[in-house]
Amino acid sequence: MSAMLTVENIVKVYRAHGSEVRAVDGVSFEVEAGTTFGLVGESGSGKSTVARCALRLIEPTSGSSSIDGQPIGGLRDRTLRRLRASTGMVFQNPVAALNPRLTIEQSIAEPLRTHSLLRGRALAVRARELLDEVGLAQAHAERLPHQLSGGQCQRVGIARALATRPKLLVLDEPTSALDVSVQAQVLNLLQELRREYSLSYLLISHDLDVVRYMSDTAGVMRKGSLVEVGPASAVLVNPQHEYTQRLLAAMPETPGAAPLPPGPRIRSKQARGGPPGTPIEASRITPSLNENRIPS
Amino acid sequence: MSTTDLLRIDDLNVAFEERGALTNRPVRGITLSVAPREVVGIVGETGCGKSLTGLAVLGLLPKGAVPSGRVLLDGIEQPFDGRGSARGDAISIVFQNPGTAFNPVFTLGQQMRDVVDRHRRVDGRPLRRAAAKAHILHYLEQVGLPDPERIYRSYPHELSGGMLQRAMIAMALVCEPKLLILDEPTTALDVTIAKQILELILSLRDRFGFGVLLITHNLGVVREVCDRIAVLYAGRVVETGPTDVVLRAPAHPYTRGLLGALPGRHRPGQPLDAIRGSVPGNLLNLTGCSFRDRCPIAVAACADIDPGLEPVSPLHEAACILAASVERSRP
Amino acid sequence: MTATTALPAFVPIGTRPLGRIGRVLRKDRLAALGLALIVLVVILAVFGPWIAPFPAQGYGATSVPDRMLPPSTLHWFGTDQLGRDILSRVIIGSRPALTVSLLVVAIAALVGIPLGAIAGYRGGWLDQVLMRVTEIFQAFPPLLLAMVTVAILGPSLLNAGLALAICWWPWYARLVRAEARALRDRPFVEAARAIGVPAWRILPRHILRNCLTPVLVQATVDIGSVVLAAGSLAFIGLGAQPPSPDWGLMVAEGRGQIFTAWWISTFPGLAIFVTVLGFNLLGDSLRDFFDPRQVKR
Repeated sequence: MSAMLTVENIVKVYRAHGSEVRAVDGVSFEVEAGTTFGLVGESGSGKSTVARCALRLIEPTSGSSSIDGQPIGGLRDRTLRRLRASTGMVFQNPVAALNPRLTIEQSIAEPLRTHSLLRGRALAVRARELLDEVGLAQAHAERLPHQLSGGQCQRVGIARALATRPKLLVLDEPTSALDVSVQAQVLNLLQELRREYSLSYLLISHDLDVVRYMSDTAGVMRKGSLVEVGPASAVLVNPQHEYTQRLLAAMPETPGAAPLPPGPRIRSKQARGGPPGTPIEASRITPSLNENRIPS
Repeated sequence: MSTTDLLRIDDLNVAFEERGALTNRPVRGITLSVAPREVVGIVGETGCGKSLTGLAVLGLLPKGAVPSGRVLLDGIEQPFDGRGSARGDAISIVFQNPGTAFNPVFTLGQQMRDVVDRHRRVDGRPLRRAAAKAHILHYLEQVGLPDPERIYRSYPHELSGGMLQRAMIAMALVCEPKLLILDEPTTALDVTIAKQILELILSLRDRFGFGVLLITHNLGVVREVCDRIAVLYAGRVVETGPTDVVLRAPAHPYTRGLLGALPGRHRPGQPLDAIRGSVPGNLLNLTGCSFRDRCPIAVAACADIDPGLEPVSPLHEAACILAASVERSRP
Repeated sequence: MTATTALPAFVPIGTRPLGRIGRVLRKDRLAALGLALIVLVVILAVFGPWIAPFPAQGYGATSVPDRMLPPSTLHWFGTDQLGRDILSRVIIGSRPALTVSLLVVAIAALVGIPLGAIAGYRGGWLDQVLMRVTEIFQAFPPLLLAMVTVAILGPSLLNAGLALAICWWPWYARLVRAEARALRDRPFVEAARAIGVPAWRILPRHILRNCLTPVLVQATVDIGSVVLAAGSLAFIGLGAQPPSPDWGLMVAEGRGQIFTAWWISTFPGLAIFVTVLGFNLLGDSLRDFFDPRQVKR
């Protein structure tokens, strides 16, 4: 199987006020065609930045990437833009990712218009088709984003990303802003679409459960570097690296995923006139002031 | 519900009106209680009315809100308009986004001084400056912030999210409240920091003995810290009981649906049990069970009966006419 | 299985504005007042020569025997030192006032908006250059700039308008530049780039469309402000010249008699006030009207 997306040694350095921050510090990975690669990490880990550098939405300081075998580093603007027809992106904030003054149909049709693939009647038909594919009623076509719920807006975002029949979708925290039940609907939809169109996904999320569920391969990022990569079932269930182990330990256990241990998981059971409190271990807290918070 | 409850919410309704006519009723009869030292979780998705419930307890409802029902703290009724209430004093709140909860142009010390001056008075006069500061530093230390002096002098933008959240908790504790309300306290935080905050809340509860009302949409969080939970849907409590009981053996189809939707419970490739449809938009004129259009086990009777909370097992209640039979058929 | 979430009846985009105008006007009394005042001024401007009781005097014909008459049933606003009916002059004067205002604002906007949008979106050296240029223009007191322009080109209403347009465009450029900069980082703009939309399409479709509201509000209020500014220039002799019925000029002409024949300065002054007030009130409520979120859910 060939790689749909290859990322080689991407580095992104931000310079501000004389100091520099290495948001991405030499990251390499591959997304095999037809699979999902999940990039997981906390805020500031650089996961969103590396995905944008991989698509050259942000120019990397150094390093290269290829989409479907085609290196995109040296491409001129015009060619690069045309290449965007073979990739799609879904964003974290579903409502904000849509132009508030364009109707749903206009937003969905925009990739088609931009790449002059269809026009007039055919364009409208395709837009309606896409609405259907993501499970939205036709009546939504004339609406504005603020009239739709978060889940519905995200479906619109997915429809728009699929408009030009891309091979690769980048999903940047696609369900973080959604309720659990809406998240389930969107994740199911994404899985269905992936199977139906043999898509490849680059999934970015801070939610280990989502990444574990959706991904074939997973990469864990921390402060700009990839600390562990491998099959999702291995990395996110039985991690080797100490940081991944810590992440996993910190995640609240999914209720019902394993039998509840006898007695409460909560450290101290409440009782009238409870036991004297346990002192906080001050050494566990290591806050850092003036952390440069660069968007990850 | 016993008479020694710390907090008791009795049939709380919150409607909204515009120009004399009711436009919606996001809270439709919520009854729940918090015992002293107990951590009770209110769980629900967007639009279930959980945030409004928290605001109602505090007397902070927005304009146009029409509340009814009662909120009792230690048996004393709390006014909905917030006047003369225990707000900020016996009841404190910690909000979701620590970054925006603080005023960026004042230091943390100044902002916490404001709270102390307002609520901690000796013989009707505010504490002297040194005493107030010592009081604040004590609590900054209690929440695990190193170098409280420096934090006292810092501006909000100089601190990380986790530290700000600790500081906000300290600010809530400064008045030594009996009840602490937390509205999505960890949603804006990284997983490792969130875990520390949850552990902090529990240890503070042990140390100071206050009750906690935790509002969240995150089932993992409630499992970590809550003694009892109440699941909200469309402005009502649809299930309530001890946390492990409700999460292990949910009796209401909505709770089961929520748990079934969690990706953590599924193998990759297994479709998630998504609850079809979406929350009803307008809650004003609902008849029958508000969940029936999305419910996998709804029967004809569900359209006529609006179920109240019925016991499923000791301490465990659910608002579903089929809950008892589901319980019986559980292996 | 029917969903309880019946889709709310939606109104196709085309018919929305009229319905909204009616609703806004009914709710916002001040906006209605503003609109009424503006309509009044526009009617005067368009139909002036037919409404004015003494149109010839409006343009400058004198009638010396009737000089300095106080307001009466024949001359509602009285007459000036040359016996001209003030009401007629005020009415006739509305046309040049409004025309020049509209032209000045139009030119300032047409020049300033694209420059600001490009600079704000692109950033970098283009942005820096624009900022410095606008600063230079803004550093000049408008009056000084007007004097220089008029000194070079000669005093007239048109030249005063030109001077004002030169003073005014930087404000639009900076306003749009600030909006464009903020919009540049919004997710939907990034989404447009991820789709491959070229910058020359992003600017009008995504940036400008979403930042025009403050500009329209500003422009509306500015029409009134320019009337005032042009009047001020005329007042000091740098704008319209006699015998033009320019309001500012009329105020200046009545200065000497302010205590004896107060009506000569007062009524043109009131005309300016009413015009500025009308545009200000309307401008304030336009902001709400253009908010896409005001569209009924």
